[in-house]
Amino acid sequence: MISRSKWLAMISLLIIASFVLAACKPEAIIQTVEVPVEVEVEVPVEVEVLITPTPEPIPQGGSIVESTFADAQILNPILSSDSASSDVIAKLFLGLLTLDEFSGEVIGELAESWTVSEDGLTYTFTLRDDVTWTDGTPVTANDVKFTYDAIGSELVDTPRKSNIELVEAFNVIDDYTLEIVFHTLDCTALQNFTLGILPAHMYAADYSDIMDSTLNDEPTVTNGPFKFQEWVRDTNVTLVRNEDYYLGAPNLDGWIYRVFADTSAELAAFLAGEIDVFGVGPEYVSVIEGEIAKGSPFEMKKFFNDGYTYVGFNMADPDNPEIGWVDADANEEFTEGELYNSEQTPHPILSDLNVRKAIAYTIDYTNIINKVAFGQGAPMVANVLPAVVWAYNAELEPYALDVEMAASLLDEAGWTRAGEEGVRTKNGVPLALSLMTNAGNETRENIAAIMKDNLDTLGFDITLDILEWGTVVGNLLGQQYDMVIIGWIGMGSDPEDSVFWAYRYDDPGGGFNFVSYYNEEVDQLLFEAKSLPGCSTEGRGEKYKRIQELIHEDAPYAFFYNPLGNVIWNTRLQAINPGPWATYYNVEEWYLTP
Amino acid sequence: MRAYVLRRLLQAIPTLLGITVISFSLMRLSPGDPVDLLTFNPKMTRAARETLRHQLCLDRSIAEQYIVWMFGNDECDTKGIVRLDFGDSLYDKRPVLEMIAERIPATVELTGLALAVGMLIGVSAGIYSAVKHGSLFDNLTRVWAVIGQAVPVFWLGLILILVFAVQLGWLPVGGRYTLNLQSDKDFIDHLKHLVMPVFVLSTGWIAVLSRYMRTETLEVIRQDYIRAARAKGVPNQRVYFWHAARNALIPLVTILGPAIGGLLAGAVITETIFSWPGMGRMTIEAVFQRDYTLLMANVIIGSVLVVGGNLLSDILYVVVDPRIRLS
Amino acid sequence: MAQDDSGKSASSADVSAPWGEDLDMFLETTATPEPLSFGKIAVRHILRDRLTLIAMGILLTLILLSVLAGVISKEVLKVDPNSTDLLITFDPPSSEHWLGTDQLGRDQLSRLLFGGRISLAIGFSAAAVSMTIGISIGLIAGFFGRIVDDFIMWFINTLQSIPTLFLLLIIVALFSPTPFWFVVVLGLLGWMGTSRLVRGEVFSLRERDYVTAARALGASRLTLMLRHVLPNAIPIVIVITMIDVGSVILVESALSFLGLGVQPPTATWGNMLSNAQSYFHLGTHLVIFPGLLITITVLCLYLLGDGLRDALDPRLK
Repeated sequence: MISRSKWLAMISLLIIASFVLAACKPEAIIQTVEVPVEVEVEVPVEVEVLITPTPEPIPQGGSIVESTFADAQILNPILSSDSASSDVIAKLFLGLLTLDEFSGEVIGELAESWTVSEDGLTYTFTLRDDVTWTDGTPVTANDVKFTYDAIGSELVDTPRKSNIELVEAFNVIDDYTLEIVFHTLDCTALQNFTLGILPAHMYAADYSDIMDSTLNDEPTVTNGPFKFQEWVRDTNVTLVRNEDYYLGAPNLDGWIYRVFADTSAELAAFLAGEIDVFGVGPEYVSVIEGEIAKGSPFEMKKFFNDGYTYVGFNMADPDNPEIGWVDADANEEFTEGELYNSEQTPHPILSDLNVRKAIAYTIDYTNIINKVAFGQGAPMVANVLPAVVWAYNAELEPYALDVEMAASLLDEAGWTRAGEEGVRTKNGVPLALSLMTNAGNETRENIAAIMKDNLDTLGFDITLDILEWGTVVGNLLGQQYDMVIIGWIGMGSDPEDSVFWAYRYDDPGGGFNFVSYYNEEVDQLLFEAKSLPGCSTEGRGEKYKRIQELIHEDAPYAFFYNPLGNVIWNTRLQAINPGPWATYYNVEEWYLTP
Repeated sequence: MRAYVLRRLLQAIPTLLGITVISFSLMRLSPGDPVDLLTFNPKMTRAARETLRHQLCLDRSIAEQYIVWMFGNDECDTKGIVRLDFGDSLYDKRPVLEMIAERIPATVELTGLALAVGMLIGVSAGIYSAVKHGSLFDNLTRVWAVIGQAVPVFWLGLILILVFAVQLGWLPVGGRYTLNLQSDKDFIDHLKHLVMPVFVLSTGWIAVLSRYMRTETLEVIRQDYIRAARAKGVPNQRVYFWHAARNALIPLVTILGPAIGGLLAGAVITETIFSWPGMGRMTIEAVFQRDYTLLMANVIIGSVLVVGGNLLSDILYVVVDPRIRLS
Repeated sequence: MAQDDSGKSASSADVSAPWGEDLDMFLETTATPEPLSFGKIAVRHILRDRLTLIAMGILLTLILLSVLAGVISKEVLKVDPNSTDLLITFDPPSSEHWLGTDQLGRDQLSRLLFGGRISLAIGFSAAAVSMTIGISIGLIAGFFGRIVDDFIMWFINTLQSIPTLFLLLIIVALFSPTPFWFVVVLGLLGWMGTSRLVRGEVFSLRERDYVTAARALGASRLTLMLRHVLPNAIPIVIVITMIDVGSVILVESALSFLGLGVQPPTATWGNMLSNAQSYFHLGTHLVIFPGLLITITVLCLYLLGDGLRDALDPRLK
């Protein structure tokens, strides 16, 4: 490590350099820069820096309007779980760690660097010492500890409890050194520390006021590039620039989130110039492309979302949902060491691999991507996203439309019919299945209609169950369905996804392995990949590649595609460069051309 | 009079009680569960889910839950709606009354204006159309009045947005104000935001009212006293607009009650299209999220408004119409 | 106006079917319950009312087309409304697909025909259900009076006090009904206006001379009701029902807009229109035709209701 004073010198230099680049007036100006200089006691000292003019100034000021489909719910980083809130919070609060916008790797945000102990269980983080809260208090290791201890507190009701599951203790070594001790080795552990950090000095030390704090609605003490100004429910959240942001004050004066309840109105507002930036749905991409071709001042950037759309096959009997393990201690919960329950009643039709494969071969993936998703997606082979390069198995051949193959698989499975018309039967039982998806999601409704059309032609008798989301979720978790079209989002940059495949999560009403998948090897590999000593991507990658092979072969899901996200913005806005894992990482550099 | 009002108020109590029973049981008898939705997240454990269910008292029987919700319970941290504690939103975790209070101004503004505009245009068109009974204006009004009620509101809204906001750029797409950092609220700007939503919401009302006024006025015109007035040589204009219209207006007060219900319903759609931050939109969001507490509060408050409107209508009617005597 | 018994009580609470509370009120306050032999007069009146005739003609055509949807699709258009073809999505109208194709390459015309079948069927059946319930409950209330009547009135008041769209949203969202249940739910929420009307008829008839006379002659209450009350109320109930049909069609489309209408693959004009809204820039024809059909149908139903009312009410000629 470089010594502290050298660091400070370098930072000062950098700050000066950036002003040299950024100075906006042709005459020489005096800029006042606050540089914390380390003496015995840290005191910020004002230093006068002479800045020479440059010809290419970055325009300052102006505010941009970004639209959001849903209003934020709560502006507290440890209590929120919805994406609208997260978007706002990301501009207000810095996390200990964050994701690299392009690689998806976990990198430091408040943390400058970290070291890992021999056994892989103790992480020592060195924090930046130049970040302050908007009230002037420095951001320290104590804030980080407070934030994560709060999550664990009984007084705090939060969906983030699992973030600290693996942690034994948070130890503050000094103001800028934090030690996290884990009790279990887990390669995904660091992903849990990207939440925004709370200002400990604004809360009671026993966390008792966190749930009811006014800061949840009006977070006035923050440390991100923007500061909170106002939140009018269902209308807007307004942020203004943080002059003291540690990377330099943003070029923009402010940021307005505007809530739109209807996507066609949202698009209309963008076309009418009322909003500057938004994530556009696939159905509107061609409108924007058309506008761009006509010379409208729009720019669009595509990137892969961290999720996928699929059809899931329930392999257990929907009339008799059972837990996936033998509950030896009869406590209705999975206890380490309990074995797979091989006597679970199988699904009368879908437990047959041939039927699942037949369905997978009946799906017209290419056209679904091109027409239903309007080209905004990439084929998905198995459960790992192509963007997670080190774990993605590029050698697998995805299923493709092959009706003859599908027909012969069905024949082989004993589902036959006389001639080319009608419903196939086996021992007098018709090949009848229901296909569930949630109402209001037109992409999924459309896929469902196509699947029904194609499967019925092949001799299935498909009933569509287009239900309200709440009912879909109830049926899914309750494992009372045949097939479901649904998708995952927010998979993150780590491929760990045991909750979908391991038998311990086959828990009607409570677990996410609601297809009742079981493959001993997959179970084992998932565990090994998650807790590989050293957590090398090569070692883990091997295991995930094998897992994808097995899942592809077992076809518990038929994977449709990995959707493309599209961020569009008015070209008044410059320096925006969204990556697959983050759009706003460099928000302080964004500027509006006059 | 006081006795009459008192009696009507007393009569409202069993009605309100019925409303709570009906809406509560409908909601709780439905499939699915708000906890499943709140925790549809692979990172939530089953135990966490059960804890949450217990905290929200959703693990009790429906009858028990109803009593808790009505009369309060310390364990469930509610004082009950009889003490005006509607609880916290399951999602926003804020008192639902506070949330509703934030939205009411927007809804009142929109529906109030729509009602006023509807009254003004509808009533005058209706009277004029009755006076010019059989004329081209009358026929046009009649056809237009039915078209106004026959067009799907959301379709009309989208077409207006495409024409006036996107193509012509005259009006903003939605929202209440143009947003800026200073949070300045410019009156003219605000009016512009109101034009399309008010138009869309009042279209149906204009139609209803013009039809209603036309028939009422026609009926009054045929009354003997009007004929007498005309026979006596009172000028036609005066007869129609002073005598006839005035009397035709009396039953209009009876519209107030149903108007509130109708406008609240219309507001659900209009507020969604024009991103208007009111109660209607909040209701539909609460439905989708199964935010029971918020939804129940919305239904109850909406119903109280309707009951209140009906009450007011009845009282006004007694006050306004001299022919009606209280027995 | 404390006289709750009056059939023409102007109390605002008298009013309202969920969708067209306003309309019912309008009708109710203007309806003349006087016994008419409307037969000939009404027919003659309607025959002279060109607007009503045209409306009736259009409606009958639409109904006929919907009824024959299967035959027309198969024999004339030679398409299957549910057959998807992803290679011809959003095709504009052509000789092969007269009204173009939708987002899945399905023929729009045949879907409109089949959609019309469901929309109209839902409209007419729901209105019929509410009419039947309305008449029965109205008669029961009027027939038994006293406690039964008090209870029924309380129930009606309660149901009418909940903003009906709220109630509908809750039911439809939480129970995801099929078209059949849609009819039931809409029917169950729409009978209150009719009931009030019928009940009012019963009470107001008690005051009439000829009823008093009939009663004196020993006619039973039941006979009175079926012979005098019902015939009196039926015409205006039919008018209300006509208008309810239109309202139901509109309500279904509004619910579709909110994502809560009849769910695919069953096409209705409502869900076709609301689906098309997301694709307005890709296929304008998809937005225009269902919207026009809904507007025209509802318009015709309202005009027909109007015409019928005029025909049945001699004072309004």
